[in-house]
Amino acid sequence: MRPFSFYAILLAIVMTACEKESRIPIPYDGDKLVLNSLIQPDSLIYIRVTKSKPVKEYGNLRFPEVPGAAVVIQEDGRTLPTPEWRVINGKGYYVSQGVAGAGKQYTVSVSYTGLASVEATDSTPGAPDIKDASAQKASNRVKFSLKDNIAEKNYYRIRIYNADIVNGEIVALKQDTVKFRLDPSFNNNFIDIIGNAYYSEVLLTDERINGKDVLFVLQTSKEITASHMIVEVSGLTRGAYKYLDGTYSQRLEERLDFSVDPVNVYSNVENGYGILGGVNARRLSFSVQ
Amino acid sequence: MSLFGRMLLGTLLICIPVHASSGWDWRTRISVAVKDQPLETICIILEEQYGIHFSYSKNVVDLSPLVTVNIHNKPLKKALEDIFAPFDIHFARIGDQIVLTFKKHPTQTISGYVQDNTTGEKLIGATVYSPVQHVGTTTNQFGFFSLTLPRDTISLQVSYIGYKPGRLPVRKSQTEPVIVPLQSQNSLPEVVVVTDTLRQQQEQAPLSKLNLSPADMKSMPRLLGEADMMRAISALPGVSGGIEGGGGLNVRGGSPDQNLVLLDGTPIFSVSHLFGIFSVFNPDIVKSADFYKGAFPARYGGRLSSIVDISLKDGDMQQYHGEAAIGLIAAKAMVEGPIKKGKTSFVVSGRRSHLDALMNDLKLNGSNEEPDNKAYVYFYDANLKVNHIFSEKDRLYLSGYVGQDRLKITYREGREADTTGTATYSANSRSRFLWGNYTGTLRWNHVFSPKLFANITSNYSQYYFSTEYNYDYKPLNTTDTSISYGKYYSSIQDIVEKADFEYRPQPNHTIKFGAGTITHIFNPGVSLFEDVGGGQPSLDTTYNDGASTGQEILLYAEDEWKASQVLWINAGVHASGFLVEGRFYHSVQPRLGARYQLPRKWVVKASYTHMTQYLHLLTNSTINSPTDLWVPSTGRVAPMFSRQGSVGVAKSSRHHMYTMSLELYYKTMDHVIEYNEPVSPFNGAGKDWDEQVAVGKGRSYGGEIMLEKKKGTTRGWIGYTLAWSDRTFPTVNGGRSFPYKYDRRHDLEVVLTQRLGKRWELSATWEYTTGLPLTLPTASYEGTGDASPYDPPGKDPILDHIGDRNQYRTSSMHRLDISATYSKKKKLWTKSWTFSLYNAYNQRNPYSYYMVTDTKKQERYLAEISILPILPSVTYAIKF
Repeated sequence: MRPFSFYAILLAIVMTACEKESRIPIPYDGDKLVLNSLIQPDSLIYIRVTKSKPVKEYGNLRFPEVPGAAVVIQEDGRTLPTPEWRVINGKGYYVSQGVAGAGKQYTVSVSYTGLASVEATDSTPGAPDIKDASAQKASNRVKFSLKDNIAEKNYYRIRIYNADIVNGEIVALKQDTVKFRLDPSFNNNFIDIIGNAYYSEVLLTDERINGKDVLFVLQTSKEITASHMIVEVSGLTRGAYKYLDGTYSQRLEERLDFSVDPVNVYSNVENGYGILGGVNARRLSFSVQ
Repeated sequence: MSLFGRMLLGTLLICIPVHASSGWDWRTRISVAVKDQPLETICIILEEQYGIHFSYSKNVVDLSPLVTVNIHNKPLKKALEDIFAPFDIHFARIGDQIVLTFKKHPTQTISGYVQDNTTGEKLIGATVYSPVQHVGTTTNQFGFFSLTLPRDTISLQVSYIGYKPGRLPVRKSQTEPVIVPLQSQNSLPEVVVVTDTLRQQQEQAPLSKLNLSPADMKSMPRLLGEADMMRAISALPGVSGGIEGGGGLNVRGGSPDQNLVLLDGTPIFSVSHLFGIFSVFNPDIVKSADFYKGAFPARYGGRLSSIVDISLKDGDMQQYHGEAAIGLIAAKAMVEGPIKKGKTSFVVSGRRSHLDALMNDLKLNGSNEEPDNKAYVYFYDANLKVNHIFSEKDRLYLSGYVGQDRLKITYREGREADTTGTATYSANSRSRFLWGNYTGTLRWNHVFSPKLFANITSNYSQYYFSTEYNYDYKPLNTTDTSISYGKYYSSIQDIVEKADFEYRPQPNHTIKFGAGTITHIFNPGVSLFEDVGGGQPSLDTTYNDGASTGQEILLYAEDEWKASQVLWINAGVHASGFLVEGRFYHSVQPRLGARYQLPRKWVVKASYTHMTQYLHLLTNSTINSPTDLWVPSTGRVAPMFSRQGSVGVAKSSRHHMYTMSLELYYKTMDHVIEYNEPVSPFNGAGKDWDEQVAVGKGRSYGGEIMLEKKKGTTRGWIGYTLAWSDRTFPTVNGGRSFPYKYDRRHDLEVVLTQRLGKRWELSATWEYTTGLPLTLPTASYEGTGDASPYDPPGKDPILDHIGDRNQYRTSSMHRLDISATYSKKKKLWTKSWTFSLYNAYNQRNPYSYYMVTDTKKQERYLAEISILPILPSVTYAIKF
């Protein structure tokens, strides 16, 4: 659950606040390897390896890449061909030579001279069963149905994109984030209603929908104006869910409040930082009525 | 001569031989005259002149007192009666001699109530003292006293802070309780004139106990114009007020849920309004407050760290009085008076904030696009107390309290908020929050005998948090209407039945004993959802209904024993049991306090106590909030248990102008809890809450110094606390101990009040504390949110690795608050103006920290947020 202080929000309404840069010196734990990869079945595995940095930074927020590392991927205990170093959109990745499969376990280990070797393991989840997405222009609602698999404990991530038709295909406009919130009865997140909060993604477990076929009604923060939209629902492993949930504020809102809940983000990377998580996204593209 | 020989000689009956014949009888007329001579001289004269032999033991009968006697021609029997009676010496003729023996004292128990002469208000802690016997006692919480003295005691002195001392003539046949009225000395309504009584002498005060009068509280500077009992307590050594602006009390390293706050004996679960800015106790009707941070008497139990025992006024038995005040935040009024003069009185008070008018125009989220979004917040509280005297032996008190905070937030969307008119829907959401306490108390005081006083209490207390929301959605072109409703509520209720007895067999013993039951009804969060708009039915309408009931029973006994003129001991035991969901916990808690008086007004004190707490508070963030949930102990989370030992010295100056006290303490706490991971505040505890918490230990130790000036036009105190407090949980911070979140190393409080003439009173408090523990990130690293590098929108998330828990400190905090009160007495009423400045030099104290990422400048830094700048306020009050 995202860090939240009822007190802080309400007090902030009442009190005026003043902000300044703190002079407290922030310590540094030293360089460690950072391994990040969300593995999507039927897709290549992209592994990003970087180094950690001190927290305070003046001048360059990018993290140093580690191009010469020894990266080994194992699938269900079997070592896969050595991944290749590729630069995509200006960033370097170790990319597998074949696609990942659903329901398999992957272990990635990284060794690099001068830094402790790291290793992480996770599996890939099944794809969520979604259908019937729809939305109405100038409204603020997007609907779709999700059938939860009763046999498993499921974790989901929901995102919505505005889209357009490019070369006959509906393509997501990724820079145009649609913020939305879930009907509170699905996740009991009263605070969304109370604080009028909307999110770029919503993470939820099947705690309240286990085994059910549920019509989701998403409330968007702004009126819908796009001609097309895409609903993306990803099945997540537990580790991926905990990581994405715990990092929401920092990933999407660039904010971390230490006074509220100083709890570390979930990481399954031994001796280092980062995540190896399994995701399985399905998308429904549709025209806005 | 050996010691034995000397004793033998000394105990020999001394026979004084005179004439051989016994020429006297009881009617023999004698004359004797001496001036400032020992009694023995009279015996010798009578022997020499009348041949009367006296026989007595020097060890039993003391004939050394000097007397002046002038007896002329009186019968012998009458003359001896006059001579010996004042010294309790009994005489009898045996053969030819008169044998002298010591008369055994008959005793008499004087009991009654000390009260204000004008209002009939019972005075708590008034001293009743026999100057001849050098023994005394103080009145209890109901103004009752009982003192057993020799039957010939003629009068007693009665005194109380701010009152003219009174004299209580003692009638020999007195068996019914007496009423001792004292005349108030107050010249200014809010200024205490201090007199010298037993009660306020530092050497008489038990260890770790402090008493606060409403005048103490009102003389302190006020935040936004409101006098506040909890703020006054938090200015005492050993108490940290927690985070700035928050109202929680952290006593000797304990958490706020470890404080037992009693309002006329009824437990209060939430003690603050407006998220901690004000306490729930209206200062106008508070009579006195006792605060214990250690050395807990056996009559208290159920919490680990402190007891705040607040007594409300009973109401004027003779005439009507009232007070009314209006400040920047709140307005309040109080009226008291007789329903039937001398028999029944009432006091009623009410207070309400008027912030909501200011908040009305506040735009949420700073958005100008949504002018219809509004928030309203206000609080109110009300007290009613009725007090009826059935007879000298029976009194009944009935009181009730209700206090609530309310918050309402409204958002409008779509067509309702849209000025362009393009929206094809309209929507609005309304959220209402409500939280507060409801209590009811019925107390019956009965005087069984002059030595035995009883208080039978039946009370009910509830803390309730509730939130409701409505979300109405109406599209223009479809029938897809949604009218959804959600509710979440949590509560705890206590039903208390208790009988307390106070038995005073001798002036040196006050024995208190009692028994009680407390039914705790826990409701740690229930949710309910409905959609009546024609959409699909809600998934399940209620969930997390984990209500349960716990039954606590308690027995206690304690003796306040004045073992000698210099040694005072309070020894007791508190035994309790708790039955919940088929499990039974029990504990026997010894309580021991001792005080030893040394020469030159030095006093040494020591105490050792055990306390057990069967209730836990689930707090979902580092700051206590109204959404916190009370839960019972379970099989996995055992009751909290503490041991505390303390020693101290105190010293008073010659006329008790100045007092100094120093205390050292060490406290351990077992089975303290905290959530393993952050939890949503509206999820409820659920049935398996105990699997989501870490169970650990706490420890705190430190020293406290208090220097106080109690008399004169300048009064105040300096309190300094040096303290350490830590926690250890097997699953938190790698099992290593870490500083408790409210661990403050140094805390210095200076409180000063200055009277200027008859009308002005100035006051100031200055506080300096070291920073609170802080957890900082110790590395940053790249994050990810997408599986494919072709997917992300191009932003590299930056994540922080959090270091060890609470290893760093926020910057130090200091603040000056000042206020000035002008009072003027009119013919029928007194008016006053209070001007105050909170944070007078506008110090920016740290409130919270977060990392700022500036992608334009490619910078990251730690930002410090401060709230509560300089806050002026003015309050106008009248009193009649």
